[in-house]
Amino acid sequence: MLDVNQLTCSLEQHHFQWTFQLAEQSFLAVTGGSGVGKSSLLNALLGFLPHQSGSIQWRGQELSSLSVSERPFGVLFQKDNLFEHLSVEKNLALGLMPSGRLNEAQREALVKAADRFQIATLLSKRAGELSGGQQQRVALSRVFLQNKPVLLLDEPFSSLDPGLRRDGLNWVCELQREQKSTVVMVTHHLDEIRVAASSILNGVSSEHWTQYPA
Amino acid sequence: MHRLSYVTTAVILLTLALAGVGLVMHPGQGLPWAAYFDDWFVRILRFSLLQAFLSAFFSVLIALPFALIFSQRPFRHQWLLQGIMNLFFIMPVLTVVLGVVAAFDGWFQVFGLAGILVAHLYLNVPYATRLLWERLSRVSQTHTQVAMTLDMNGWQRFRLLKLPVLLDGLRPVFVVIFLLCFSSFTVVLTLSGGPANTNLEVAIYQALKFDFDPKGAAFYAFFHGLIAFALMFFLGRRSQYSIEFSRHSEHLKRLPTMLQIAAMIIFVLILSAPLFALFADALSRPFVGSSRLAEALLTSLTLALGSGLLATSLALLRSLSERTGRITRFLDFGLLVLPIMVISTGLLLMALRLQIAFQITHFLIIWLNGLMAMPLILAPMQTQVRLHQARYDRLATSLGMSIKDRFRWIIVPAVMPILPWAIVLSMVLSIGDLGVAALLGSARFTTLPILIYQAMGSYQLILASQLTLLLLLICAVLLIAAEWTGGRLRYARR
Repeated sequence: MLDVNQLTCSLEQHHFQWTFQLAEQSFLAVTGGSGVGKSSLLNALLGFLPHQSGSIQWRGQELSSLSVSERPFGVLFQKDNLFEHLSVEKNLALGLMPSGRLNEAQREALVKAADRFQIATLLSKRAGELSGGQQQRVALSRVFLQNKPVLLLDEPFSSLDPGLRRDGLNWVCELQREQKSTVVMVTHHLDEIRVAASSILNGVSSEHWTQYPA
Repeated sequence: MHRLSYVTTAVILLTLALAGVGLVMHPGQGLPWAAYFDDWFVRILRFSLLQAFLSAFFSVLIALPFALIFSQRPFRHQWLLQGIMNLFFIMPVLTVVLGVVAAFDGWFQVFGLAGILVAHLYLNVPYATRLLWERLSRVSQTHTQVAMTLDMNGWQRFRLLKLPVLLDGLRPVFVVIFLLCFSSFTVVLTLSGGPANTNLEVAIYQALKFDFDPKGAAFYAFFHGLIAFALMFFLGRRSQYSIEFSRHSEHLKRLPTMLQIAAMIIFVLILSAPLFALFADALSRPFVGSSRLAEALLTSLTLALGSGLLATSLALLRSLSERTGRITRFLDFGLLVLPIMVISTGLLLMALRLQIAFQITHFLIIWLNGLMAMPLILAPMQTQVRLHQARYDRLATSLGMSIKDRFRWIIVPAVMPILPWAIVLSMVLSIGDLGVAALLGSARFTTLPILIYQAMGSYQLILASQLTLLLLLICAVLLIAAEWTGGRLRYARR
């Protein structure tokens, strides 16, 4: 269970407060107008945005004192999910080891994941050379390799056309099934992900959020 | 990460401190202080200020119409013209000196005030044009269009939109060039033509080298430093005077207007005239060289490489800091116009005091030239590093990358493509240095610029221009090599 209780943050003049609960292996869609604090929620969960009060608990453990990389979150941002100057392979490797140096077992896992996401032929390419769809697939496979229990997705497919967005969502759902992960996904296209979502968190205002089943 | 960037600040402050202490603790006996306030001192002070004032005044005056014409509207390939202007800023001063001699000797007395002024104009008009052009280009296109819909004529638009920008920009540009010329050493030394035309920097050099009077040198250096710092104080905000050596080419469709083409032709012709004269002079007789050429070349290249590496390392460390405080910005820019001869004198006096002056000549020259080159390569490096940091910081944090990992996978790749360029640019800046090497080196110490100066001093002007041509060729080869490797590194896969 991911339990967020009266988590408050401020960013410049804005004050945010979130409360919601999410059962393991479920899929939460986060919606609301722009500026209401959808991306800020992810930043607060990750620890990029310092919180003033409230708690974030995962499986009963308080997370707020942990560093960003110690938290149980894998993340896909809106953009800049890959180091564009590095090869696809290096980008994947950095998901397994922050130093980029892999042992034999990790290397095997990397190759397997690349096969799994159909990017094996791209491994030696520079990430910047890939198309937007390919880039997001690489980023997804890195998240897959990280194998974190909770996936935070900040409209990662918003720049893609509807067909690719649908593909992206399918990859996410497969990943969720396979790794039994819990997903929090910010979206502007609620209708597109309603099929996958198990509950919806809607920002009425930055301090007032309602959660209801999809 | 940021703490590393303090290394650069510390090095600069240490240099200033050591130089200051060196000036105070000079090892000379000399005359009583009052004896230095003589007619001679008044004369060199007056000449220093006069030539700097005239140089700055005419530089701005000549640059103004060109800047106005070039800024009328952006045109295709204007980066090429800007590149040529930048080249004149980094070209070895001796090239300009010998070019002026080759082109104008016989027309007027080049060894004297007129020659000094003309050389200063060649060095600074491109710089002034560039700065004013850049300022004028900032007049927004929308404002111009609004003014046109208001049916304003050309003069009214100029008065409303460009004049305020110009008036705002003239004073700082004037002061910067005044400062650069006030601290001009090589031009005044080589073109003075006699003791009547001596400025403070040359007086320092003469006191040390010919009169063996460290106390006198400290005296002149102190006054030079005092005036230079006072002027720097009047500069106001510093960031706007650095030249951005960026090579981005805007893909602009429009061709230059007829007026712009005419201005360009005149500008480039006048600028390149001394270079052509230098070529003609150098090629008029077979190259005989000099018995010490090999030694001089080796020393020059070693020193330049050392300075290049030092400048690049300092700039790299500095670019790691996320924000620049007022002090660091002042220091970075200050080095550009700092009276380097004053600093050199301070360090030399310190070294003389410690009796290690001639053991550490190479080290001191690399140190000073590296520091001088650093601010010129800093801005593009900082831009690259900040761009990458801003873009990838969150991702790196979310992946748990340590400072070492980030350095390896983010910062090094970010600066890699411009690294050869940074090293070479600072090499080019220091390989042409005459002042620091001549001041710090012993009588037997030789670099290529020193050889050129000696050839000039013994009226072997053809030899001097041949050696200068060689110097210019080395710079060209270095720059082309950097461009080539830089391009390759940019497209290399990692």
